[in-house]
Amino acid sequence: MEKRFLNEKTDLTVYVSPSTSNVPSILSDIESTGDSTATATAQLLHSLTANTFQFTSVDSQPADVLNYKPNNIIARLGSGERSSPTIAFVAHYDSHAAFPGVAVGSDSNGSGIVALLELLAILSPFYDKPSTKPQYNLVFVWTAGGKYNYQGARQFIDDFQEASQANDEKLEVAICLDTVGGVGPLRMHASKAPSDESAAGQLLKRLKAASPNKSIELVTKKINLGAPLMSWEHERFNVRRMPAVTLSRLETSDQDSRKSLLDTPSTVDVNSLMGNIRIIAEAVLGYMMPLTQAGSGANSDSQDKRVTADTQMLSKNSVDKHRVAHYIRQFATKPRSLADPEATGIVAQNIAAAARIYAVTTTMPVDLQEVRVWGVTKTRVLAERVKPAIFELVIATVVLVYLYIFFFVISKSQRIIENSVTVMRKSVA
Amino acid sequence: MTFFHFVNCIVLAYAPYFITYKYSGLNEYSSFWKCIQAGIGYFLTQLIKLLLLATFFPASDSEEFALLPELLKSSADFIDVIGMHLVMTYFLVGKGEVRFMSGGLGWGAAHSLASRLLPFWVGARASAFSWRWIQQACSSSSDLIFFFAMAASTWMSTRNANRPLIFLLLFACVFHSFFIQLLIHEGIQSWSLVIVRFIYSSLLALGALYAYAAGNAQPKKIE
Repeated sequence: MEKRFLNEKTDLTVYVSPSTSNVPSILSDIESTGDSTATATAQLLHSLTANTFQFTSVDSQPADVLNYKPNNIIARLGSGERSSPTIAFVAHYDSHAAFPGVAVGSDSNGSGIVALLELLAILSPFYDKPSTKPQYNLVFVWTAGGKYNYQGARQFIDDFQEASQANDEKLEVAICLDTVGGVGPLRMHASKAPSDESAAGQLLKRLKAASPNKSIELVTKKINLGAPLMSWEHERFNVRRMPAVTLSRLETSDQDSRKSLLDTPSTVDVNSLMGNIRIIAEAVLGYMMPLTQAGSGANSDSQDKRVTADTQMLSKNSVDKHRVAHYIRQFATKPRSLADPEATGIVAQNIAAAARIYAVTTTMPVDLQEVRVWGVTKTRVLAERVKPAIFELVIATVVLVYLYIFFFVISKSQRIIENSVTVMRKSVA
Repeated sequence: MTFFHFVNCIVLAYAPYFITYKYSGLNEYSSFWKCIQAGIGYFLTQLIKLLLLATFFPASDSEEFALLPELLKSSADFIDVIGMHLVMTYFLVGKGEVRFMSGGLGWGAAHSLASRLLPFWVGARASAFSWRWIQQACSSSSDLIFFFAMAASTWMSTRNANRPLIFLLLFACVFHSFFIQLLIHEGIQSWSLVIVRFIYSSLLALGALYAYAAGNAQPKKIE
């Protein structure tokens, strides 16, 4: 149904409404009007008196092309040296569906927002002290306009490349998170199979090592440069020759759930989300601190039995359930369409405020290129019970009859009153 | 709903007053101007009543219906009776019966104008249909009966031998609006409310008629 709306061009405006207490009564009225099994008399009577409905939309803002600039939110955890390699975590924060005004996009990409915030919260303590500081710069990017061909990611890459020419910053790998909040295997999407030495390959290994109970799959898909839309966010990085992968629970990027009304908070499973966050955090930490891996003898340190026995870096409770649940409530339950500047602004501010607790956070405006976003995602629609015009004539007739009876009574009233007074006097006397 | 609907409501609400004036024989005894004077008296009384209400019963913040304050408030409707009495004694001339007839008619018409015309203009022309406006227009007729009864009782209060009955009637008149409020609070609505109003007014009118018949019978005997 929703897919049809996405693909079909309609001249009529189609509104969706949350089902409130009034909706059933309206529906039943409409159904009784459409009822054709009734007798001819009933139908005639119905055509005189039935309720019909008149729908009017109240707000009459013109639907213009929006030309505001949504913001990327960028949080940095610095190793102290600008020249040390950078790992970027990327998740887009907007939601989209056939009806953007009510699409909450809990899993896509609310779960990405939440996972990124939680990763930031977990990893930031390592940057508190010089002794535990990993030799990597971490950048957390919440990008705007992900549903519009990853506008925010493109902007971030532009900004990053411009800055890196000046200060020699280089991106080791970008890890994009998209739809990680559900049950199922975690899939690493890449545009080509990473070699074992590359950061992506190492990460894949570490992800596998960190999740004995969960399958990590590698999905490779060549970038189709001719396609109008990129399928995953990492492709934005790849076309600019930056190593990047996307982690997601989905198998392909064109699944309907990524842009559906039905992507509600119930699709997000807190425990799986927490599990995924934990695996990613473990893998990244293991990668940043050159730790040994279970089963891999490549590193000389790994000969030490005591170290290989346990590769868990994080304590059991480091992924905080309350915190995750709070983030989900805050970020994954409200519509955040790019077409709604107000909602986008609010969610961006909230993410920035949450990230600022753990790291230096900045916001960068994003130019929307190649896409045009049309505004007005919400309006108020009034459904009014309206009687057919002929019904007024019926009422007028009734009124006239009533008035005639009234007139009749009044013109006789003097006699009636006199008579009744005499009757009463008699009865009193 | 439409302008036509508005016209329907207006006709239903105000035509009875006109018919009553024109065809009950009232226009033979009393001029139109007398009724208008009664209407002016109504507006003056309402002004005084509002001032008193504002002074002694400051509006409470809660919208809820509370029994005792509402009872006290509606006791301010005594002002109506006093106002009506003054109007009938000083403004209107003529035979006593004609006085209270024209007084009641003018008073009722003014009340109906003041309390219904604006809601009709705003509400009945709205595109959504609601029975509310028709019902309001219907209860305008029962108001006419009610104000006749009230005017008659007021007029008789100084002239009638049957004092207890008259004061009972006046009491019922004063607490009429309170009674209606109470019914609405109890959940009686729409058509049943219209019917209840009609019955209440009719009973009052019957009572007034009885008091008139019984009360006037005795002085005549004395004479």
